[in-house]
Amino acid sequence: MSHYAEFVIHGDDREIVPYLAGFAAGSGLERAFVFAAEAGFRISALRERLKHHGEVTHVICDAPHRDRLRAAIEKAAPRFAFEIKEERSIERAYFPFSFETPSREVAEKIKGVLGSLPKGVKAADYAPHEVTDPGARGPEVYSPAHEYTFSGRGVIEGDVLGVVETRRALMGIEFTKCDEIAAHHAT
Amino acid sequence: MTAAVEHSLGATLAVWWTLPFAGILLSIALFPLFAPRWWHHHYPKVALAWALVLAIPFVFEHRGEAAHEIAHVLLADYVPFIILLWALYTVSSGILLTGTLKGAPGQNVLILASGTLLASWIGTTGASMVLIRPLLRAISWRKHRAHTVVFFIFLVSNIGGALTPLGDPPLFLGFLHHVPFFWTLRLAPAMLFLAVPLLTLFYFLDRRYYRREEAKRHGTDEIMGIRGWHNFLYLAGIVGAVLLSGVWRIGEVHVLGVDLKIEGLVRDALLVVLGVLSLKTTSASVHRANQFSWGPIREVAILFAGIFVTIIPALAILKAGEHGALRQLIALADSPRSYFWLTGGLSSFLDNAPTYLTFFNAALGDLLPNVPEAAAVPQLIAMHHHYLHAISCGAVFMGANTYIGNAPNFMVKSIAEEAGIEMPGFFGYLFKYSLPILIPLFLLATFVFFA
Repeated sequence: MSHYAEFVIHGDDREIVPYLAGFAAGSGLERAFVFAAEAGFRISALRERLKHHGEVTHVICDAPHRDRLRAAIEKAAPRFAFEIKEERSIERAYFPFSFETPSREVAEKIKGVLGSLPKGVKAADYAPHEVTDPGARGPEVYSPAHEYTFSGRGVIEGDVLGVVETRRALMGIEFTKCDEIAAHHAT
Repeated sequence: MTAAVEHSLGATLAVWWTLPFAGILLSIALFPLFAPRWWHHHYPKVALAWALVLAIPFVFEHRGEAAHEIAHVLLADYVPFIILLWALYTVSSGILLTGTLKGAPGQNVLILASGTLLASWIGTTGASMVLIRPLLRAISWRKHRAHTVVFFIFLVSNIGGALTPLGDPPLFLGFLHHVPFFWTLRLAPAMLFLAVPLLTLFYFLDRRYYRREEAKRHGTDEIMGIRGWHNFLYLAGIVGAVLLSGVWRIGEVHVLGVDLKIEGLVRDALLVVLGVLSLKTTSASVHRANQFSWGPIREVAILFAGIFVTIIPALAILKAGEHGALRQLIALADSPRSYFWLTGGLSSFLDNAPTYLTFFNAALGDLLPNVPEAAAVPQLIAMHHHYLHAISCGAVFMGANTYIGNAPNFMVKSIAEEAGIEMPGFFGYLFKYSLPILIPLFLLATFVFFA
C-alpha cells in the first residue's frame, strides 16, 4: 500500500484553502488530496494550535502527487506566509460506523456503499443484522415496532482517500453514524 | 357512577389503589421507548396484568360495589369510546389522497393546515393516517424532512383535534360525561393562537431549507385527487350520530345493573353500521394503499380496557375531593392556569385521555363536591368554564410535547422512519422542537387564556 502524506501547514486557512483548491483545479489534482478537517479526520485543534504556535491546516495527499503539492505550498510560502510545519506519512485510515434503519430503501443504499468499497478499503468486524417481523406490519399507535430493521456496525479501514470517499458516501445516507477518521501514521 | 357510591368509595380508598393506573400508563409510556419489540408482542399481557392487579383485590375488598364500578366503566365509558374510535379509524382509512405535490413550503403549509382542520372531524389519528403519506411523498426528494414531520405531529396529530369531541379521545370522554358536543368549539381561539404561529414558523423554516435544496429537485408533479370520497358521507353520519346522542333523550335501560342511555346505544349502533358500510363500499386498493390493518384499533381496544379498569379508584378518590386520598393533588390544582399545566404536563408523558378524565374529576371534586356528575358538569360549564377550558386545552395541545404524549405521534414517527426519514430521538424531539417552540407558545397561551 503506498503511503499518503499529511502536510501540516501554518498560516491563515482563509488563504491556504482557496490557494490549494485553485492549485488542484488548475492542475487536475482535485482527487489527489483532501483537507483533513473537511474530510472528517480527527484533529485536536487546540493541541495543534499550541504545538505549532498558531493556526494550522492539515492536507492529506496521495503518494504520487506528494512532491508536486509540497512544491506548490513552498512556492506560495513567501507571498502568503505559509509554512510546512510537519510532513508525515500515513499508512492507512479508519473510522467506526453504525446504522439502524427500518427503511428498505435506505438499507439498499447502505448495502450499495458497503458492497462496492473502493480499492484497498474493507469493512472490518462488519456483521449486518436484517430482521423481518411480519407481526409488526402496518401502522401502530401504541406499540410501534417496525416490520423490517437493518442494522449493523463495523470499521471502514484501508486506503486513505478510499476511506474518505466511503465516509462521505455513508454520511450522505440517513440513519448512519460515522465516527471521525483516525490515521495510522508510518513509524 | 352514582354520587353515593362515588362518595363512599372515593373517601375510603387509599392512594395505593391508584398504583395499577400509574403502572399501566407508565408501561404505555416507557416500554415503546426502551423495549419496543418486546412491548409489541406482549402489551396485551401487560394490560391484562395491570387490570387484574387492580380488579382482583378491588372486588375482593369491595365486593358488589367494585363489580358494579367495573361493569359501569366498561359499559358506559369503554364500549362507546372504542366504538367511536373504531368507526372514525375505519371510515378515515377509506379516504386516500392520490398524486404528489412538489414539496414546496407553501404546499406543505397547505397540507399541515388542512390536516389541522380535518383532525377535529376525523380524529387526530384519522387525519394523521390520511395525510402523512401524501406529505411524505411530496417531500421525498427533500434533504431536510424531519422538521416537516415534527410540525405535522404538532398540528395534525395533536393541536388540530381540539374543536369537537371527535377530534381527540379526551374530548369524547368529556362528551360521554355530559360536556355538550359544541362546547369544544370554544377551544377554537386557543387552537388558532397556537396553529397560526406554528404554521408561520414552519413556512419560514421550510422555505429556508427549500431554497438550498431546490436545485436538486427531480421528477414531475402529479395531479392531486381523492379516492373514497363517499367516506366523507359516513363521516358526516358519524358527526350526526354523536350529535344526536347529545340532544335526543329517550330513556335508560339497565344492563348488568348499569343504567345505559338508549340514545347512547342508538349512537353506538349507528356508528357500527357506518363503519361496516365503509368497509363494504370502499375499494380494497384504497385500504391497501393506506396500509390499512386492524393493528391500531386492536392496540387501543386492549390497552384502554386496562386503563378504564385501573382508573376506577383514581376517579373515585378525585371525585371525593378534599375527603379523598388525593386531596393534595386537588389542592395543587387551584386555578385554570394550574389545571392547564398539570393536565398538559402529565399529558406530555402519559396518555391524554385518562389524564383528561383524571383532572376533569379533580375539578368536579374540588369545585362541586358531592354533586352528581350529570348535574355537576353543566354547573362547571356555567360557573367555572375556564377550568374545563384549561383541562381540555392541556390534554389536547400538550400531547404534542413528546412522542409518547399522544397515540398518533409514534405512528407518524414510525411511518416517516419507514419512508427513510431519520426522525429525532425522544430527547432530540424534546430539546430541539418541543421546548424551544411549543413551550413558549403554551406559556403565552397561559397568559392570554388562563391567567
